[in-house]
Amino acid sequence: MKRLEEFFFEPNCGHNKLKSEKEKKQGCSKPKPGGASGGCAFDGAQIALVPISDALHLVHGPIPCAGNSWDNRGTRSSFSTNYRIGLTTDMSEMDVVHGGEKKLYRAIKEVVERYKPSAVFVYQTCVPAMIGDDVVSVCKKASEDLGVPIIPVESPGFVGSKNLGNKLAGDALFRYVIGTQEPEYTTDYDVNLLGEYNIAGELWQVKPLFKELGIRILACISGDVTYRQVACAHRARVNMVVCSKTMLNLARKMEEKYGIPYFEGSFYGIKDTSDALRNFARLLGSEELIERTERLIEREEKRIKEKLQPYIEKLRGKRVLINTGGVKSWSMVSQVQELGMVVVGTSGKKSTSGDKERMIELLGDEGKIVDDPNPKELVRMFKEYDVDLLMAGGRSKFVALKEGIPFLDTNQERIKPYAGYDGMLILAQELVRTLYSPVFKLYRRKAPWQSL
Amino acid sequence: MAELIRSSKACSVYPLKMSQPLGAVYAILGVKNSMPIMHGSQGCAAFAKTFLTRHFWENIPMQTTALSEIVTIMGGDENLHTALKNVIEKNKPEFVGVVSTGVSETRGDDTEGSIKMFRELYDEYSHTKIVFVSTPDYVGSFHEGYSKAVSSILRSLLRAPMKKSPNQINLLISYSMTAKDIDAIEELIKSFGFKPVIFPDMRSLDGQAKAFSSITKYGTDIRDIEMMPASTITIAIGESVREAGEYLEKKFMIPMFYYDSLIGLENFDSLISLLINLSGKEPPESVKRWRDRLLDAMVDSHFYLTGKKVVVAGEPDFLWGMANFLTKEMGAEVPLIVSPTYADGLENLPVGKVIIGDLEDILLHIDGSDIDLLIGNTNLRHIAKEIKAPHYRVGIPIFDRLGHFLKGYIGYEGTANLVFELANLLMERDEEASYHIPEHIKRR
Repeated sequence: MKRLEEFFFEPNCGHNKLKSEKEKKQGCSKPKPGGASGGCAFDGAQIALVPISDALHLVHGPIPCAGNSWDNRGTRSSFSTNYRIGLTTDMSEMDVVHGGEKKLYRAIKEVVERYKPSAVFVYQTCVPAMIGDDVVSVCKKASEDLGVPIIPVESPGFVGSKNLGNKLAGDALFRYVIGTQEPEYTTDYDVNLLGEYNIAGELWQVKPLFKELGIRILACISGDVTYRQVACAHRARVNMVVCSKTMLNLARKMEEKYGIPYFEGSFYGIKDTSDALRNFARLLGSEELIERTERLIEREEKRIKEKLQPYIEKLRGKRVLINTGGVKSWSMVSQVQELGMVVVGTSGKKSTSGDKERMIELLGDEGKIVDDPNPKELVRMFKEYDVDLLMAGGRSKFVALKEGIPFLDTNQERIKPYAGYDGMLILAQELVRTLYSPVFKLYRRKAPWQSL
Repeated sequence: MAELIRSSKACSVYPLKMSQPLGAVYAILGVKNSMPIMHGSQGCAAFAKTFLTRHFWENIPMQTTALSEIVTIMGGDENLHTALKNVIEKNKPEFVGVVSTGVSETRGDDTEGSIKMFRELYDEYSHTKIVFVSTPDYVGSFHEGYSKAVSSILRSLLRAPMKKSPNQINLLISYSMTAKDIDAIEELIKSFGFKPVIFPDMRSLDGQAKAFSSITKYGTDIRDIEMMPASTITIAIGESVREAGEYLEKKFMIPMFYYDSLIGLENFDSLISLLINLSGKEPPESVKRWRDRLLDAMVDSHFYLTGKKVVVAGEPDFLWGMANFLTKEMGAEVPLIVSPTYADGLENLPVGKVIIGDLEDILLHIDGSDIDLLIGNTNLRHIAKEIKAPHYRVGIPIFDRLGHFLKGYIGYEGTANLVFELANLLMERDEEASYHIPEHIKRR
């Protein structure tokens, strides 16, 4: 498990820096029996890699790992629909007894012949890991025989949480993919985005801005991206880490090996979008680009603020509770504040100390950081803080709706994109829709027989 | 007799199969004040929970023993015991269903023994019933998991024979039935003067508003389950609960009346006859009226359904009623049905081929013929898109439509709903096609 420990020593992780030596040894927080709700390492690995859309994603394991999860993310692609095909070796009892390697090899061969993918990602899950299936060797052999890159992703669920799985995915890309191909040409303005999954097409909302500035997105890892683009990612000049922690290890390793500087940022909200563009211009280091970027920011901010005005009038003063993870826990705070809303609380559960500092600064006296946003705590907060709306993932959706609180889905299952300047408008429209829906009024009305 | 084909591919593509533990959890959620625990890595439970949450649009009570890499290798009872303790203390369920997974089964856990030890060690939790269901992920499918859970719960909760209670009837419910279906059958049986014990009662997930709960608020009361040996007969609906019905028959001498489905006119006629004979009473006016309406609905719909080719995919219980009704009662042709697992008698259905396989197998076996309609879960949309056929959503999971669990499919009323919905889909397609200008006309 030496390699696993490496992930817990991420020197650039804000979480890690604050830990004592003893705590560091324990690694990232472990799931609690009888009290855990998040996904496993395999889940995380899949989330980070599946958006590589012209590759196939084959899950080696018994049915639930793929069967209960395939095609469950809202990532979009303009290249291929390969990534949406659920593929699994569906291990049987006989495979558990005799080993699953041969079946895995045959499965890889079958799908390569039938779907002719650019590459195949093979995910190791708990059961084959326990019986000792050597996925790395099978992939190596299949790759040599079939002439297609077959990438092993060693991600059995029991090694840890979803977050760790993201890191394992980044590690697989760094080991086996990035740097294996060369782009046809390079420019001085080639960049990568790390940790952007193009959920609901969010990448597509910011892409035109890059195009206008003459910045080329070489690879978005991973969202609307091809295997070849990822393989060429080492030629970028700057990396942006979009979803705070998950791809930090990849960014650091790319900096060490290829000398690519990186920064952390977000595309949620007007200010954050502008800041991200500014950071790119600054790190790409051209005075002319910096100037052009400022002009674009000025124009876009003015345009979107005008469009938002009628919505802001309806949203002003509404009280929002935010329960979401990672970078969104603070970037969404500023985003809804820009719409004139009051954030009464946001989740600090999955946030780094850096994230938290930003939250405290943004929240001021009005808001709280909720460290354990369990359902009961959320229900309590609805009442105590007179909450008008909950912004959260699907897991908390029904906690809000059962209490008659309007809700906005901010996680991977949402179908509307909220990124960039135009995403602000869509966000505002969706917020107005749920906040002003008559159903919530009807919800509180008594049934006719109750008044008898 | 249909041609039975077992798919021999190494790779399952567009999987149809759902895991055994998921089926077992489904049944456990039909018990009141219950909490299922998956004994495995935390992903096992997280995937299942998300899956069922998306299907029902409800919070799904479920917990995990969260086996870590160390525990997985070294073994031991600690995680299971901690999970049980935490769940019982925190959530206060009356009933806990522990289901195994690929992880705990591969490790070779004696989970049953471990639960016994938990019982001996912790007297203070004796008020909570704990039932174990062995469901390795690499055996069977959702169907078997559901079936095993229903049987296991009865086997462990029922003890001695009881004095018969003449009006009580056991009603064993298939996973293919919706909340509305269960309402319909309950109402019918009560209208004849009987008291049904409904198990599992999946109306626990029927969408109650107001106030969050971390365990099931509704479902079959454990005390009612314990009274099942007192019933005069058992009505078992669906192949998945036949084994449980047979168990009640053998152990407590309760005669079983088995129906593979209650979709369609004939099936329901037969049930009504049984109830008339047992009670000596006539059905209520409304039932008579709905029989007429169904007949009318079938006549109206036959323009769109008779002679059409329909492919049905799903866990076995979904297949019987659909295939029989479409072919025998509506005159449609079913060239192909797909099931993820074999169930006794599937090959006797009046269809062309019975394939034990995945959704890709539909593409590989339709032999280029035009399919007019696909019936199955949400994932079937991938196939529907490829062959450009309308897709009616029935099954598990359905996460791109709302309200499916409150629609009725059984009995005179439910079948009328079903037939209208199918016909409407084909009507819409036909209407659109009628506006299409053929190429040779355009060129002129």
